[in-house]
Amino acid sequence: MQRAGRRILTGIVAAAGAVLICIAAWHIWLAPTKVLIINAREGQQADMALNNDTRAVKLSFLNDYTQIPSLKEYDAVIMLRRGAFLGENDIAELEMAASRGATVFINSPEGQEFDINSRLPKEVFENLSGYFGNPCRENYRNGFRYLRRVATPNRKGGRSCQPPTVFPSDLFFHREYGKYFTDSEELTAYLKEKGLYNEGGARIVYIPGRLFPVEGNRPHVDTLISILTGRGFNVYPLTALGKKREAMVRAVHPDAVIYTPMGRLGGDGFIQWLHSQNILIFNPFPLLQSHSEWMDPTVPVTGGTLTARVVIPEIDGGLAPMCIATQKESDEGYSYYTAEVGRIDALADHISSCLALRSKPNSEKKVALCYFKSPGKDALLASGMEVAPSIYNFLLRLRDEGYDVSGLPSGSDAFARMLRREGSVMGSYAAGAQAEFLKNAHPVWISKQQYEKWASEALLPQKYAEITELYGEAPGGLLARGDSIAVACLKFGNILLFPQPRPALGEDSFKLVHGAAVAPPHSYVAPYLYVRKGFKADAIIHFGTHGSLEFTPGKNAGLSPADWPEALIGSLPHFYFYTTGNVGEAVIAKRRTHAALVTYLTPPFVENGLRSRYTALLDDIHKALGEEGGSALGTRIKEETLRLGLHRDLGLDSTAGRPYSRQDLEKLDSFIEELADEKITGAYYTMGRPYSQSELLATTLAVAADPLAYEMARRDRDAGRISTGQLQDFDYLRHHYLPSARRRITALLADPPKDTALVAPELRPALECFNGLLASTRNEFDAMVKALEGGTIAPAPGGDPVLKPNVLPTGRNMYGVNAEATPSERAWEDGARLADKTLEEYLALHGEYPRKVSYTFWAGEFISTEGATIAQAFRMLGVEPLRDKQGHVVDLRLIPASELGRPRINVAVQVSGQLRDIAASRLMLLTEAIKMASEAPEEGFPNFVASGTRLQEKLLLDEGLSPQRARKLSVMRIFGPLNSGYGSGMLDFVENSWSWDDENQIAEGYLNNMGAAYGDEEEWAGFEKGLFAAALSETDAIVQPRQSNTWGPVSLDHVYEFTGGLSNAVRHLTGKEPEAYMADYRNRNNRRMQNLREAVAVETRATLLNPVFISERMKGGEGSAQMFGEMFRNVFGWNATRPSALDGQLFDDLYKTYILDENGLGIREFFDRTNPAAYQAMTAVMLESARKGYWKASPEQLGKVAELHAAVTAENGPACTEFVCGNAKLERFISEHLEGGSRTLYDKAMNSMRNASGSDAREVVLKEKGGRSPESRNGFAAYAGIVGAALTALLVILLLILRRKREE
Amino acid sequence: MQLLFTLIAILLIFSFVLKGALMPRKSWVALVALAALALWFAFPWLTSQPSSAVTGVFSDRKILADVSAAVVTEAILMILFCFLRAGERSAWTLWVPEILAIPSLCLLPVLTLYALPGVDFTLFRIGAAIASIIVTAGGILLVKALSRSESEPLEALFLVNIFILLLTVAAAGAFTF
Repeated sequence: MQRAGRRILTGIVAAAGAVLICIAAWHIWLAPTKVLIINAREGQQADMALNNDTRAVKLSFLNDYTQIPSLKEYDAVIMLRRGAFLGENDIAELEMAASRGATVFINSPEGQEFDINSRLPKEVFENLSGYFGNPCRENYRNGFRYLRRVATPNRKGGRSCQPPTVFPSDLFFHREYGKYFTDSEELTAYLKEKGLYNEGGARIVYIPGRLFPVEGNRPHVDTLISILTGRGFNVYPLTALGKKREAMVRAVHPDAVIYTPMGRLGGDGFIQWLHSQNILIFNPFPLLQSHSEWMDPTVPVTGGTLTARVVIPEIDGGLAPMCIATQKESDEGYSYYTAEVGRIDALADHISSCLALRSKPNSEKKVALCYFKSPGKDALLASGMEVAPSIYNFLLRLRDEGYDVSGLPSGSDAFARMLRREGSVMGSYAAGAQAEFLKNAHPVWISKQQYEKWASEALLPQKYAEITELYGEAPGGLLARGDSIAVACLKFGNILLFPQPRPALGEDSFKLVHGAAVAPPHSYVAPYLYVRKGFKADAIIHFGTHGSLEFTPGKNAGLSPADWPEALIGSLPHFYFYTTGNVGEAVIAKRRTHAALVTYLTPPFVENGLRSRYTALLDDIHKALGEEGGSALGTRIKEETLRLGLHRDLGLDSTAGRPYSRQDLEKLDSFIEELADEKITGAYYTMGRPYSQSELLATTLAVAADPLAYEMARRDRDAGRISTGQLQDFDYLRHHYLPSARRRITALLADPPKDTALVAPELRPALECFNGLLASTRNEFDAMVKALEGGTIAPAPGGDPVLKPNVLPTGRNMYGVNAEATPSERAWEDGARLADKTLEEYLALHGEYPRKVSYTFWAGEFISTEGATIAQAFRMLGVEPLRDKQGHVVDLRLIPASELGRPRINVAVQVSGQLRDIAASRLMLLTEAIKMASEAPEEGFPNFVASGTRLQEKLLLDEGLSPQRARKLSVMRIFGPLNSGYGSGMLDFVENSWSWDDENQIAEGYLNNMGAAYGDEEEWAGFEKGLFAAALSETDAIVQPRQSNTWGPVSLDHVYEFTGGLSNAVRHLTGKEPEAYMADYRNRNNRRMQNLREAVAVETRATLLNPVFISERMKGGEGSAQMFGEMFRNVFGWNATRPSALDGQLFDDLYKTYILDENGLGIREFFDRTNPAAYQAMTAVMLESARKGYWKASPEQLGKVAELHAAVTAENGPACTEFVCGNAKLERFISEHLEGGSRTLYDKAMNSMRNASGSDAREVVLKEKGGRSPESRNGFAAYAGIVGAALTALLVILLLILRRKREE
Repeated sequence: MQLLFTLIAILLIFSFVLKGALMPRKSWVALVALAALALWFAFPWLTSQPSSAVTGVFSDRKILADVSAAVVTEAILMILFCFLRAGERSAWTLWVPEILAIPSLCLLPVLTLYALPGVDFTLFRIGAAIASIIVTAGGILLVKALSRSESEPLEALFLVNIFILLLTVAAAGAFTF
């Protein structure tokens, strides 16, 4: 027994030993070599995995190089640096792996710089560089086998390999894999030999990227080459870098270049050469998204892809940023590029159309020109432009260039009348006006059959279904008769002019629900289809800033046919006259409608004439500050200040007889100086008509005087004549240097020299600006004419010329900014300073820090300032951006509380759709900063970010969210328009003021429409009920950026839309109105924070109430007149959202200026002559404001305004803008304040317009169906059973108790 | 209604503790550990439930009917157990199931969680598990210390379950009528 037991034990031990030996042997000799590849692209991963032909090597992939895990289990680690930023921890982990004996290799052009690589033997380093620096199938296969040999030298099998293949660079190639050519002649010969050469065909150089000749995954490359060759082009694909690439392109001298890799095509010199040779640059790109993600409009293109594929190529003047490939998953789970053949076809069509413009005679070319107009009789619209005469001048230029423009009237007035008659835009509430238009005008009629045929050719079936679902079958309810749709248009020879219709019609707000994209109606789609299929235009121009096509629903970039802008514009060469002052929205047009922009000038700046009005008061104030004059002077100053109403703007005391303190006097001085120097623009710009001499001078002064003053002061500071403090005090500069700077520039421009070298260096910018302005007008039409002939448009930055003089001359294709490099260092300095200043001002006012500051981010400001407002938000949180060597912001640092020296302030952000599209990665970075700040300890100062996060979580719990979800969303603070839209949808809602009675309705609509979260990828564009409201809780202050001198809070509606809307929403939620500031970036040397009320006061005094401004604008035409109407509407908007922003006397002042015409400017006559509709709108706004209680008008005032409104209506017919025609309550109010004959005439006019059956339509508050439905469970027990069971049990128990008692 | 059922939940925990006091050490320790483990594993699911789902339970008749049925069933089982145990002290009788204590142990932390925004979920989870151990094990030890024989906890168990039964019937009546 014992022996048997011993034998068994021995057997077990022996078996165990054998097993152990086998395991050891396996690990030493046979186990697979484990290789980790970090940072390979998905397509590359697929290539690697599928070319690893030995089981002896096991590959793993890590995409996120910022989260390098423990590398203990790996025998080899290959890092493909490919632009990755390696932090200290990442390098430490790699080094630890290397010191444990793993083979670690970083593949990078700077490979030698990494210490890790220097640990490798020279031969190993060179071989690995060869294998992974020349990625191709053979090198992957051999490289992994080589790694088995060097990383696990003892292990057997899978070790045989060939040396690396260093494939040639700087070569041409074509579809045949493995075939290379050293120069273009060799390739040409090959193409001829293969029958692929097209005699007389245009030459296209195609640069897909360095690796594509040898990469296994290149279906989109091959497909593009094939399709272009089939279209008659000769394609020269090449791979090369730097100067060699440039030389190869020059040698081919193509007609166009297609460039798809990331980044710029070449240096500035090469790009200039390309444009000088009229070589078009196209920038399609492959997308790292699946086909379904690409087709999903809510999945944006962001981060490095957006920057490198779309934004950076714009700097080169690149065109057509179209997606030509997506990714597909193989059965093995790897991602491949897959060609989007439809898109490649569309790209080929587009290139063909662009190049065809070169050969087609101008006399045969058909050009469609789309202009913009508000409904009714109001003016044609374009930012800062008199549209009708501008279009007329352009048509004259086209005629000079040989285009067929027959039938063009001989004068621009007649032309404008034709436009108004034939090219109108209708609101669906004006059925009578519509009927009149269809009767008297000459639209093009498209039958339903024809329209549906075109739609089936141009639109995906599901896109067309979206229209019919919302608006019913064609022809729809607007501009329709019988079975036909009318397209309002005019034709002059081969030139078609048409107004862009309304992009949405909201008859039933409940149809437009959250989550559903708002497709455009038939009346919007029909003109675009007609242009492409009926008229068969060779090119389309959108005339002026801006229309709505680029804001129809869809992706932000790399659009698919599922996106409306792409669906409607098709492959047409598309050009867009765009104001240089609005780069933020311009880039949207470039990316979403592949528009080539041609910038035009802003209206000229003019002297505002206010200095003379305030001279006496200013002199008195200076004397008082110099301690002269005594109390009598103080009293005089007080009286004059009260008389002018300046005390109301600054919140100063109004007690007569009590002189102001020194502090108050300094405040007054600063305010009046600002008023006197406020830059205002004059009459709208007419394209084709250069600035006058006085306009040139005034604009040059506006652009160049401040920087010159600063430069002069800086030289004095360097010479020790003034201090740095004085240099940084803009009031000091204004007093001591600005007048002298202005004199010097005026003297220079009295007789400007031709050669800037003859001028003092500090004056050269002024002369360059002057010359730039002079050249601009001619340049604008030259550029468009050249573009219509298939030529290039030179790229340039965009923005306000005062802020960025290098936008001049205009007539160029403007580009934005590299979001990855924002906030730039300068922006960080500015933003941090302004954030601190905001806190200083708030603290001075309230004695404590704000808990939360809510920001508005806009694209224009983001681009112009390179992210300064985002920097403000970072600074509030106490987080600092960190940059890599290229200047990209790649990481964040929490500023310690001791360094910050104050509490961390919570932030919330609302963004425009435009900003969301161009800076998505910055928004995600900001969310990371919020998370970081939330987790920071208090350390001596309160952490309002952390407490705010907890509060937000609590509010979400109260909303009924689960603890997990509430926790996740508690750090979401960034919000924007629903449905990936672009605006809040509230402008029309506010201005359709009959539809709401309580400003809280505006707030609720705003919270709904702007409630989509844009903080991280997972929740991108998601909507959670109550989240935006929770994020805005505790808001104590709000900030609105401004960076342009061409608009202000009263002249631009979006300011009240965003800032007023936000303020109203906060008041609705918290019961308290927040402090409001403007972050003012308009002056490069004086970036500052300004109280909103003050900013509004400056603008109203300098413009709306300034006789000089009014006179200047009255030199313009209908566009300038329309602007007044817009400003009045904005005043209404402020009253509805934040009345404290306005002076309570404002309407009385407007009454005196525009109704009584106290300045004797001939107000009524001007509007009668140029644009009566605008005057109707202005009086309607005043009356509606009275009806709503915003203006406490006397009966006399009301009667006067009503009579005036009625008289203009009777003379000109109802204008049918939103305030005039859509508002039955206002019509009744007006009617009640009229007497006798006036009332009768007015009522008759309004009735005939409306025709009683018109429906009220408006862009509506998108209704959100939100909230999460509670979990439901199945129940299956009936109550009767419970009661029965309970009673039975009770009875049994009672019996048992009794029985037991008896037994005892 | 929420208050009533919260009270019932507390009584179910009492019942669990009283029954545990009747068990040998290894058995009640195993039960306490099981209860704590159940709470631990249920925690992620609990945090993903919106408060409306929890409070909805107390306003949904069907769900309340189910809950009442389950509570009544278990109360009856416990009452029967008391009689059984009074007559026969075999070990197998101790394994009459009593499981509603576990959801009762989960309810209280969940309600607390909704009132504590910002608390670390992991810490809370650990705390809740420890608290359940302290409450149940502590309760059992306390009952054992206070009882001279098995009769007292048995009688108390009987009375608690009678009370649970009556409360449940009353609650069912309230939400029905």
